[in-house]
Amino acid sequence: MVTISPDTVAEVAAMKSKLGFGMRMLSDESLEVGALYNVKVDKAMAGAPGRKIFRPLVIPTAILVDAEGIVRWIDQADNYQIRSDADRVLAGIKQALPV
Amino acid sequence: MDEVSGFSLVIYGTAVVLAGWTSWWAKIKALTIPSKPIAYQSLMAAGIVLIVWGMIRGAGPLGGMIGFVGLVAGGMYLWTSTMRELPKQTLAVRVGEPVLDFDASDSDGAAFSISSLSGKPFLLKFYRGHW
Repeated sequence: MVTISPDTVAEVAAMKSKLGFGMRMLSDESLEVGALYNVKVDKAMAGAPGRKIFRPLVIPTAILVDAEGIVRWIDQADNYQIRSDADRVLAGIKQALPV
Repeated sequence: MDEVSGFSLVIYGTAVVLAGWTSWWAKIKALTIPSKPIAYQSLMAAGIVLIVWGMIRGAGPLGGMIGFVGLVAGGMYLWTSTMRELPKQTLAVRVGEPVLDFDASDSDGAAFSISSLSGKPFLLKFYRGHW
């Protein structure tokens, strides 16, 4: 799994350290990757302390890619407060990439 | 209701708003937020009505301060609840198409290219931030 967000490198590092994640976590502070995938939202409400309430963010999106680099499954939120749960993601992965 | 003081109405209304926020926060933690929070919006609106009613009746300085907190809390919920929807944007890739290559920095500040994962399946997850 690879994650990417508009957080700075320092913020990503702090989150990775705090939560003990072993996956690759990327910083897209300039939102270039967000714009490339068209998940960038120019003005979204954010809750991070010390940062502007309204700023560019991304639409929470999960993209499953197979070993050949082909997209096999996509999960995208239509509401920023509703998160994908683990069961839903695992079900999507199992269906798209059956072992 | 004629015997209920303005101060009491403010307290009831603020309690309704704070109870709503407590319940909502529990739903956030449990990942069980409803897609249409009409019940919560109604609850907050009811709390605001009680607070305003109490202030009109006369809640005194203390009631006024408490009511102000309740109005702000209830108003914030109603405002943010109307801003939950994300814009409908067409993702730049579709199922069956190649993933778009890009370069980014990882948590160590090192350069990372998505093409380096070639030959292995992976899940690419965009998220809003660390908070």
